[in-house]
Amino acid sequence: MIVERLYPTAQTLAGGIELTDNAGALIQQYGEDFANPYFMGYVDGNDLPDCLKITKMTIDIDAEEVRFEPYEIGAIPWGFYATEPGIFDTILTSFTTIIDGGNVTGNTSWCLINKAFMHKYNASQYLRLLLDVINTTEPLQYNSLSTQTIITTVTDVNQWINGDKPLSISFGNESDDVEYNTDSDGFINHEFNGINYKIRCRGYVRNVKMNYGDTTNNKYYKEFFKYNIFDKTVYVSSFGSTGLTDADILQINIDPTTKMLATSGHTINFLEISDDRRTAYFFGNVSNVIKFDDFPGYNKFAIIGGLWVYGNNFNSTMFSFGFNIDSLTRLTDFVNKIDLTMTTINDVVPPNIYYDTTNSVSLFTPENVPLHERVSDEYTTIIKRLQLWQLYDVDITVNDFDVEEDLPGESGDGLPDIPGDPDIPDAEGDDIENQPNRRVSAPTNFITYYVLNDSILQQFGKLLWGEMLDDTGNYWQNFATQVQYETGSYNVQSIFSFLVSLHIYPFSVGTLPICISSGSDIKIGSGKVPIPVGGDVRRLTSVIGDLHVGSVTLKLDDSYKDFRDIYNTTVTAYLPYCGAVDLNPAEVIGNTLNCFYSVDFSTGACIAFVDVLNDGKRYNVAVKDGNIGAMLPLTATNAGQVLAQRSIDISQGNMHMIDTLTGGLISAVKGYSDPSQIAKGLADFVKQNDRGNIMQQNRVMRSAISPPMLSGGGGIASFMQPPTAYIQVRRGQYYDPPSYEMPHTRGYTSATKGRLGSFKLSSGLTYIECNNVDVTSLPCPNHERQIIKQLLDSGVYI
Amino acid sequence: MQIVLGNCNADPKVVDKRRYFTGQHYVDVQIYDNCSLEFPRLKMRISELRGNNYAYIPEWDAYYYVGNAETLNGNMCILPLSKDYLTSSADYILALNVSVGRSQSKRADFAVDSEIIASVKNTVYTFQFDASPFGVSNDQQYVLAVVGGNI
Repeated sequence: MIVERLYPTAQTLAGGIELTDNAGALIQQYGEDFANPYFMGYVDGNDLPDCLKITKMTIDIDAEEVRFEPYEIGAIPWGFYATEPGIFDTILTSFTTIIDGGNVTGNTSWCLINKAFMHKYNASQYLRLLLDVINTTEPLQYNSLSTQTIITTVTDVNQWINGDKPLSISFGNESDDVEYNTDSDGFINHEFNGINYKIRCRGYVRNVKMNYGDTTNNKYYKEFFKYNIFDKTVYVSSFGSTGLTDADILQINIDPTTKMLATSGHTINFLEISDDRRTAYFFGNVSNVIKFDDFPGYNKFAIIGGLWVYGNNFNSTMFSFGFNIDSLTRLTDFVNKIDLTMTTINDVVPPNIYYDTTNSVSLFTPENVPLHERVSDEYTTIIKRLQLWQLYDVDITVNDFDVEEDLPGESGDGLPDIPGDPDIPDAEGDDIENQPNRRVSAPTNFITYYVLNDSILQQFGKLLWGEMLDDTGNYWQNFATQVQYETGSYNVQSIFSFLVSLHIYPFSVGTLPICISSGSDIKIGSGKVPIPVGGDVRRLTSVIGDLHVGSVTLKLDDSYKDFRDIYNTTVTAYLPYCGAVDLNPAEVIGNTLNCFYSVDFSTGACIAFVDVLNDGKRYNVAVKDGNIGAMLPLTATNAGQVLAQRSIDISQGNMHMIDTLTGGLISAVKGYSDPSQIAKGLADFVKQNDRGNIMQQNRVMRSAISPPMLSGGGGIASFMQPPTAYIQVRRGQYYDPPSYEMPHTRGYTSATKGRLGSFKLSSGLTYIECNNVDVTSLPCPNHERQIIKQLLDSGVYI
Repeated sequence: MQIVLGNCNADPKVVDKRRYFTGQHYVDVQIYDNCSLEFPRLKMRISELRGNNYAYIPEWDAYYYVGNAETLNGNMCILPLSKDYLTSSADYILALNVSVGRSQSKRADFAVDSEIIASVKNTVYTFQFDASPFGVSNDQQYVLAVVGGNI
């Protein structure tokens, strides 16, 4: 079953050859689940112009592009090829993958390093797919010395947070070689304190015992892993056995080995070394990427980085270091496994510089062999392999309680959902910083906040000043009695002491999650005498509610994809009722912004929050307060007079609240004998405003209500402002200078370092300018060095 | 001694001009008068001058630009040379570890490039938040607060 067509079919090939839809390069993934997936990629060469064969795939990591280029390969037949490793080697060798200038040839499972997949699968899915594909060769055998011990248990789940959640999981311990194989569903099952843990860990986890030197004496190191669930950190510990006495220098290499993708310049950050009795020298933070073409014939690269540990007698001492999985994730885009190797130091530096290598420990995987080119019988080391599968995304399901909301890799902000939470999209495993306290939910004690539509409001007014004033009805008698009971007075003016405020909002309050149905009555005071306004009366369960304003992605159609998108660029968020706020373009350009308002329904005040999803994290970039609710006056009316007169002269100001509210409208209804018409007029007026007629009404509004303000201001007139929240990006325009038309004359801003020769492009001359180059190593007179230095600093071609 | 004369049309800023060094032929020369190794003056037959502009002196393992030849007497001339420091030390130079400010091959996309010329104009993009709940037609917009009631 074809799950998804993953890549657009119309591609412009190198040389301007346009692929039609039918002739497009397809990458497809077959298989529905992770248990048995494989990838298949093919290009129908027969549809290509001049029957060019597409055999070269170029991956531009930065641009997130995968390109296919025509390339004549002679006799290799064209057609359908699966890329399942180890089975279809033929086609694999026919692909050339270019990564960051280095070529990969041979047994490269090109689909695995096709970042296009990343766009369609989340990290977890993607990772699992990849894991299954690459997990092809095991156990490792080397020089017939390889042994492998089967792990039977997960030996330790050792820490908890708050007494109920595991902090980390250790695979194995220092005393045994252990291996744990997953079940058929891809889980490790482990019972701890009566709770069954199901740890998704496809493949297997092994500890390793690293024998060194004379294996008959059983001298060895132990390696074991601990994975911190919450900071996604892998800690690797090494433990010397009792048989070990004088192994002195260990080098630990992080070696993603084959089938992984990285570019030079990435770093691995080591986080911890636990044994202060050792002198550790990090050559971490240094990533020396050995490119594929450095070792012709081997489709591998390695990242040599790690630490050297000096000292004598590692016996029964432990050191460990950690590295953040995220850094490796960024490093490789996907982490399939981490091979940790320990080698003697002279594998990477000449011997006799640091230490005698006698009895040193050497552990390496076959992948190391081409790296160090030290495949020889001089190693008597037993080779084992440490494999951490899928540590980036260990899913843990604890059967007895639900921890999903706080697990890494899960969406969610770690807080329990407020009912009807506006569901702001979360990034996978995102860390939310500087977010508002969403737990604030001021209860509505003492005050009831009714949410009314215009017809209910109209009916409410009708009852207050219409039917309630009709003494022929029983309702009024009941109500009057109640008023007397609650106020000690029969003065109906006291009714208004029960009315606190009336606000109108430019959005549907009734649909907010904090709003619940409240029957068909409005109750005041003790509520013993409901006012039957009919309809769907709703009320608020919290004074504060969130209004989801939506999201927007600031993707510039004609992006320069460089500093020009940000430099000289201004970004302004226009937030209705709050005003405008400038955003930092470096944080938001190209990213997705979310916006919501927290509204205080007791005052009409609001705070707009804008946050950004940037580099996997969501954090706040703007907060702006404003006033979104327009207050409609209700008090200071001479209701007693209304009662006494039983007639209404609206124009005389007996009902100031309506007079004030409706402004000039009052003249339109002046003379109405039926007071319910006044309330209807009120509702109709606002309704008209709401439906876009506000411009007509605004002229009469202004005399009575505050002028329109973008930031709100509490007046209805502010409703006339643009009704949408939007963001404007004003990006500077640039002329294409010669350097950008002809980069070989001036180059680009580079800001990097390395061996000068490594900057050379694969063809042609390459322009380069150095920064105060150190020429002391040049074997020539000093004045010549200075001349060369000047030349290099002013720009040369290599 | 013998030197190698030939032509090199590479830009002087090219570090390693050896692969552009063509038309090479050996010429017998003598050092004329006292001279520096960086700016040697060589005495040689005029007939050996073939419009060449580049030279290599094997004994000194150094490359030179050819200057204006001066006739000496008869069929001899003085050929002034000036050392090409870059090519003479090319292998060592290319092995230098350097910090690079500008390069054609490795671009720091988000570093400001002073070579680029900005216009005073700008391009305005407007992005609208997709939900935009404001101002839509609805009928539950009023919030009436009352004392007590349905609490």
